[in-house]
Amino acid sequence: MASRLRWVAAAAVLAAMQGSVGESAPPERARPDAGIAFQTILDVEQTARLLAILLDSGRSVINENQPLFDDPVKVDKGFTLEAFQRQLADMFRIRSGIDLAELDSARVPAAGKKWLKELLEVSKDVVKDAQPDINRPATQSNLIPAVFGSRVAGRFTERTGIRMKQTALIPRNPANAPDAVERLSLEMFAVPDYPREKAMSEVTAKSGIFRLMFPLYMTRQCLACHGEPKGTLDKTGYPREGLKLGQNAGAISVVIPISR
Amino acid sequence: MKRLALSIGCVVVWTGAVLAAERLPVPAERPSGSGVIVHSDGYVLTAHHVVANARRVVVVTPGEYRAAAIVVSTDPEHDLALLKVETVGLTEATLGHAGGVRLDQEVVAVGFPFGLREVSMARGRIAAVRTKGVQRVFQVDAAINPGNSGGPLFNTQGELIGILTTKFSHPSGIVPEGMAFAVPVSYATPMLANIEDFDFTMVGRGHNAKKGKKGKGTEQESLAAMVVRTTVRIETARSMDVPPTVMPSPADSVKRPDPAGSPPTQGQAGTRPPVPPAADHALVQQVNEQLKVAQQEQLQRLAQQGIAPPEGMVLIPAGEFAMGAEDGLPDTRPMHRVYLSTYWLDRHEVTNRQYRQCVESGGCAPPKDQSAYEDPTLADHPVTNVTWAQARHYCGWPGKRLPTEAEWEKAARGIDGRLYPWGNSDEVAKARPRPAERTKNGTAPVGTMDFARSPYGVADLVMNVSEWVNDWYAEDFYRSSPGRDPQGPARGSFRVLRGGELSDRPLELRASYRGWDDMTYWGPSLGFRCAQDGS
Repeated sequence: MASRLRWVAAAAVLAAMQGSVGESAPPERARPDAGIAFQTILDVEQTARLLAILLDSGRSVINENQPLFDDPVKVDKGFTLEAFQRQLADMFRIRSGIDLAELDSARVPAAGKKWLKELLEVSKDVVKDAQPDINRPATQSNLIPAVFGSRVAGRFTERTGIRMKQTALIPRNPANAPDAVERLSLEMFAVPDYPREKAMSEVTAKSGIFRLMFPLYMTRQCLACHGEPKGTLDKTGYPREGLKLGQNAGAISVVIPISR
Repeated sequence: MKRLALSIGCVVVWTGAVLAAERLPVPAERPSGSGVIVHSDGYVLTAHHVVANARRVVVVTPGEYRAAAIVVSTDPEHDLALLKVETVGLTEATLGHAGGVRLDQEVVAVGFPFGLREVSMARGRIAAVRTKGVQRVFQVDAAINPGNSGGPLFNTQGELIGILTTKFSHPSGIVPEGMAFAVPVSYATPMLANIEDFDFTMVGRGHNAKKGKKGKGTEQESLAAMVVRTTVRIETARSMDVPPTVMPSPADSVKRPDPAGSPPTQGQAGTRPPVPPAADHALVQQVNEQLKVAQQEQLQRLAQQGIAPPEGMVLIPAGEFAMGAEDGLPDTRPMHRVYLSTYWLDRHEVTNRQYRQCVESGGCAPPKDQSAYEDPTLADHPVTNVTWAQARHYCGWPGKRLPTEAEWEKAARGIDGRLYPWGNSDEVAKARPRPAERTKNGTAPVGTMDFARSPYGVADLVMNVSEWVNDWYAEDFYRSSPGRDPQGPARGSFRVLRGGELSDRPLELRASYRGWDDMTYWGPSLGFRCAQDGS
């Protein structure tokens, strides 16, 4: 009985605080912005993970074709849009298990499908715009994975409002410097016994913004520019970082605002 | 109404807890955490780290009934474990629908902080959802302490929505307040499916759904009482010096003709007993004989069914073997038992000659570097300079596949956890022929190194070239590997390479050694062989 009385009192206080005149305001009204459901978060997480894999797959394809781009004699490198798209789809299928050609029937949230298609289009646009740069006899091409990544991420953000960014603790491009959340994840990735390939994500009740950090690792092709000997200049004129094969080399950060 | 009823419960409980601190019992088992009854037959869900490494587990149910528990199943990846006690008259918690949990919703954490006798209830909200790898957790801003681990997290309908796991950890080492994590209860579904008559149709129906409507005034009080009745205290007796996975004697799945001789506990925690080389050699020979007999028996059975062995392939009969090593590199730990179904494995690595047939028929792309491949004197040497994708493609061409990491290792070392295919002698590894004594590209013709033949008769698993296998590489995979036909991690960025090369040191020639490389890489010492399912 005592608790019943208290409840009436609490309701009265609540009503007074709301400045409501009616007595029968249901308690739910006090919080019209009911939180984001866990299921929604799982869908957004899967989407963000796939977007990160697709961006990194594009980077890998560009990476694998560096010897071709850098060919000093050949003019037409044959790295057409079709070739790029095929290699990208192969890489993405191997890494994510999803065939881009059959995306519509894949088990991916609807919004994820839309955004993956958008990211694919943007990636192709970037390669298309870079054709003159690729198809000239060059000792060093300008289309390297990092440049590809930042161009794609920039255009993707303009189109969709989803932020994608390549970041590292000591980035070459100051625009890629990590923010506080990214720095915390990067520091954890940098610990040698942090389990490989384990992405980190968070969405807090206050922000309603989903953030994913997807770790990247040094592969053989990365070594040419980021490996040993530390401090010597690579082909783009930056000092090498002295990173080792398999070491964490940064992360892709994905920021998705969740609409309520 | 709900909130008030619960907060009154809280005050009472906390007073009790403070008093209890002065009369903390000292049992043989020490308090370890909390758990929740999920089925009235005595099934208790808790966190894996509460019972990991425990010699004995005791569950204390409401009313201070103590009962020994068995661990039914564990899921270290999600930090969950299912226990069973033979206690009657238990109240089970109702499961909620984890997908419907919302950020900022109110929750109640129940448990026994610091192993106190009195249960505590802590209110809070879902502050965030976080992911670390495959583990997704609710971040709860309630007051959670050691001993709450494994305890339940309820929503305000009294439905179980999560199991408390660890607290947030920061590199600074500071343990933050009000940042506890809970595993969504949906990750326990595979475990709960082990319970014979578990009723999944009740999930998300609320705790009153099965009991019918009660008077509104008593509803919340009964809710508080109910969630307390479903929560249990867990105590464990653990031995800190025993490694997490206790290996049974490696040889006890083998028929031993001489029951008096005790098998050496090979490969355990780096403490190899000093077995004289001769005795060790005799034991290895004995196991080899048993493996050969088992292999022959199964081949005969297959022959009776009219099944001829695929050409050039060796049968590896189904059964358990000891995988990994305790005294090797960190990625080979722990040594664990793995059961593999029957499979066939190529006797030799794929040769340049065989690979050429595939290329000429249009099925395969030529190796990335063709100098060895084009050399007619190297036709019977293993094909090299192929990427992982090329290797997989070749095996798929005649309807085979790449072996898994476990299949490679079992074929190489048999079932007794030996170091090398030939036994445990480092001397053999040291006395191997030098690359300089070999041909121009550092490989040997396949099947010419008899001393390195495995107990099943598979040649060149170690010593000739490193071999691509199907699995993604993960350093920590052995810690969570399934016990039956493991297929490796679901994703990764490097593929596993197994088997040391001639130029390697003895450590890398061990059968447990795990190499890895970028799947787009190729090299003069990277080859492969194919496998096929047994049935």
